[in-house]
Amino acid sequence: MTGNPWRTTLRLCLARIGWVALVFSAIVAVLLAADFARAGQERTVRRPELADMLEEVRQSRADDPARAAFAAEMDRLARHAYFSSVQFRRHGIWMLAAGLLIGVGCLQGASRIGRRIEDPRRAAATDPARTDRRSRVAVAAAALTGAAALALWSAERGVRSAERGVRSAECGVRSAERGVRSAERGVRSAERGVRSAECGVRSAEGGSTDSAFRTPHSALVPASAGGDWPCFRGALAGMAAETNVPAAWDGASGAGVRWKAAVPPGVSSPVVGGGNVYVTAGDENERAVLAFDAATGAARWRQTVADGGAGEALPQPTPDTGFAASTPACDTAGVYAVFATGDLAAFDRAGKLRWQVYLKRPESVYGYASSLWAGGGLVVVQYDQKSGGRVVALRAATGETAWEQPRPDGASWSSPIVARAPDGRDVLILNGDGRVSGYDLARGAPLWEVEGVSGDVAPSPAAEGSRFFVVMAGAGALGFALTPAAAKQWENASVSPEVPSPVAAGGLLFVPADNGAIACLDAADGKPLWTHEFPAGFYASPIVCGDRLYALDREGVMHILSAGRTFRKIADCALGEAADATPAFAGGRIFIRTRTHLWCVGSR
Amino acid sequence: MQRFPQPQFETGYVVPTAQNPAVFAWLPPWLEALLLAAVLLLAAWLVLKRRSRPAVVLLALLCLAWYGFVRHGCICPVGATQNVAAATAAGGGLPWLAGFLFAAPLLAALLFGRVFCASVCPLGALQDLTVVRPVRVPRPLDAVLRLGPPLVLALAVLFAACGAGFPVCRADPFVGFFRRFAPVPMLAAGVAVVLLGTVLARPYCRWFCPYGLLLGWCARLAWRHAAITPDECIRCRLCGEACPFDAIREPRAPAPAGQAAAARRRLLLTMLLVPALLAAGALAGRLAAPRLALLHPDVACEAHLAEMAADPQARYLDAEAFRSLGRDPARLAAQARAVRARFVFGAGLAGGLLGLLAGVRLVLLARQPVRDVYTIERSRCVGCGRCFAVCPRHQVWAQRRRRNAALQGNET
Repeated sequence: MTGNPWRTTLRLCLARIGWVALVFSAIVAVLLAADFARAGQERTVRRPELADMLEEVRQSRADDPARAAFAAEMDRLARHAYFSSVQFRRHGIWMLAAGLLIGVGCLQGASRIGRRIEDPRRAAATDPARTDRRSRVAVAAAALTGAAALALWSAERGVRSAERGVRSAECGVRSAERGVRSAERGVRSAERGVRSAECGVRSAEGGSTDSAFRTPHSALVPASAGGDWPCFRGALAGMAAETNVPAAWDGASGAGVRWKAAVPPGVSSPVVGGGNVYVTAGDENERAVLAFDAATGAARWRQTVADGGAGEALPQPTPDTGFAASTPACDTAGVYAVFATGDLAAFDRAGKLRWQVYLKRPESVYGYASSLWAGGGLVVVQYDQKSGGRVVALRAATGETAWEQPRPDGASWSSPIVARAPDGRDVLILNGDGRVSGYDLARGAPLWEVEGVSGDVAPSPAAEGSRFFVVMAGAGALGFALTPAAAKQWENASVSPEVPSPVAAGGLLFVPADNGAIACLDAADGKPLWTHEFPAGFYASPIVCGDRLYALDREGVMHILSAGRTFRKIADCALGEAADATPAFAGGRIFIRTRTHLWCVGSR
Repeated sequence: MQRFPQPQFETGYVVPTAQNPAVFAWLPPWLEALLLAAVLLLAAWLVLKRRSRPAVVLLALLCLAWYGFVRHGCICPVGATQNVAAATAAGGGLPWLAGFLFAAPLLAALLFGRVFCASVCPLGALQDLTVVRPVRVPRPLDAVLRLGPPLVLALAVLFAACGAGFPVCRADPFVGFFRRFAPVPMLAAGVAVVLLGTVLARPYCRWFCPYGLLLGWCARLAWRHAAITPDECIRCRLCGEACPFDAIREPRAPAPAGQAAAARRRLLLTMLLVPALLAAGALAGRLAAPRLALLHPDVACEAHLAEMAADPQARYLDAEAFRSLGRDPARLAAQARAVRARFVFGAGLAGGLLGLLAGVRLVLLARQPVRDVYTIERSRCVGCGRCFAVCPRHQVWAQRRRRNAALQGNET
């Protein structure tokens, strides 16, 4: 082969090109490494010298504009350096990859041209039995060594962990005080649990035998524990934690009615916490938060919320939405309320204003109506609107923005829920026009987006186990797996809710509709199990309480059904007043807001 | 998303809103699936029927360009293994395309051997195209290094199923080239693997790739598999010398009569070792579980919180964020406890399976199979076609085929 001059020339050329390309790659690699070491993306704009200078200038900015300009220029240069570094790296990797491929490819070609086929007879004979024996010994030794190394590695961590445990002991003392307080709360909670268990037994005795409600609501992250019914549809998005609620009352005769109190206009739902029932009310003149004594119905306080956008034109919500359609949220510290004017205010239990935030006027054709979610030290606002929509998490203590994410899909009237994904992360699930989005509740990072339902989306999502659900007239009901990427599992176009939200419990999904139909679907595959039509439609969302489903229609009649796989009516209880707000269940009582009154039903 | 401070001064510049880029997709998912199926069938035809190494290389180049540099190497069947594990643990939610990408090469391997590795996988193609002068690794060392893929597979499934991320994707040394952007350590690893691959052919495929292990298992049962020679083996030994992956086994005579009993005894003793290895693996896995669980963000955050409580100088970004958000430590502790419990179960199971696999390897090595001719070891053969190119019988067959084709051309 070497006798052919053309082949020899080609081999030499390829070999030289190959080496040149490899040297070029090596130079690029060194430059990349140097760039990384010199101006890593973190260090470029986080240099302590720059930070010190910026801080210094910030403090003396008014005095020395020239110095401020100099610092700003330094800041700009640092950023320029960062982006240059990014650009260099991007181009450098191209050059490195191309150089490596060309270099190695040319050397491979040169090697192939110059290769002679060796006479196989000259190769040393191997003893396969001996090779196998050595391989066996090597594999056994490697496996046992690996196992031992793993065990040692773990033991080493144990020692370090013990050292840390000693250091943590002091912290434990401090924690003990907190533990005592926690224990007191635990005792009170246990008492409630015992009462709840007794009621559960009573409920089970009289309950439906085909009820599917047996599994825990593992997916949902409860909203603030400080409220008995802390937000729209309660802490568990439509699931009431207690089962000892009344099943018979009559508004006309007053039977079963504990108290009723007059309330001003507003369609927001009541929330209950700390012995108070909170409702919001409002019109173009003023917006207010009202607190009632949950036990007696006596008005405790009423606070108006100042218009943060005073001077700006007021929104023009439709009459059935109004200025106070968003349900407030409450926790141990007090109550949070948002209005169609874009004002979000926090009051303590005594009615003292803690903080107020103006979110700007929402652009919403029917009027802003999404409700708040409070929990984990955050108050979450789904502020979907025609343009400039966003989701904002505010610190419950101060009203400062913890995080904020844009939501460009236009207006929606849906409210947030929070569910725990299988990876343990708390996922804020928001239903919007065209898609359902998941955000990391703690950090606000968008986690996933899936195609959802379209239109003027008002129903809020539901969740149970490892699934969540969204519904909307036109699209029907959609079931999704709550996986790290969220994936659609099924859809059922037979349901058509526009306002009320579904509730999932016991492997079933109950979907109410504005036209008065309630459908029960199998949550696993979306197959319809039963549908029943009531004469009046639903705006209020149904609540599952033990083995019963409570659905309040627009004429104020509560339809109590078995929350099971077959339809069974338990009772109809009328108040005699039209109602659109979702009732609250707390302390063995039901709080129902009608157009003109706040009712409390229950004997205790 | 850029993680650095916002500009400090009013400059009139409007900071753009952080955007999440849309999932890269040049083709609709159904077309992606169809394309993969077509490429797998083409690769099978080139390896099994056409027996053409140049055609296999050409297809590998095209697939490297498409699946690597155009599609940026994601989502690939190697990574899809983790999607499947995560979805299985979560009880559903596997995107159908990910499922297809995972299953189609396995099905192809069941039918035709590892044709996916031959010319479809961009990682394999990149390594195969950069083999310059391969050196044979001693078989005992190779046997040890081949414990790598099961270990990686076990860890990948464990982490994906426990929600601790996709480690195989994080450790992919080539994705930096495909995306033209990577941290320098990842890039350095990529360069190192490419340079290593010039003398040790396909190091990633042989000693790291978890999907290759699954493909190898399927290929053992392949309906049709590539053969070294189109007709008879003349025991010239050229194929064995040409294969850089040590996937060709030489002829082996039966053990002498006096050694047969000893061989049986050895096999029996090795089989007795299997339960011990299984138990050792399970125990080691369980012991290592708490430390492995630290790679889960919740467990890490809990540990960092504890460390910061013990040492005021310690600073961890996740723990600081947790504190500043006012999250509930009790809830975090409960989450971390649940994660650790999952790891204890999963790591024990994975360790036991690894031990079992090592035991099975030992048993296979203790056998003394009799072979008359040079034979392909199906689980190792990636269908590169190097053995065809050097086989004298293949040259005769190829010449005859070309002559027949020319004759048919003349007749027509």
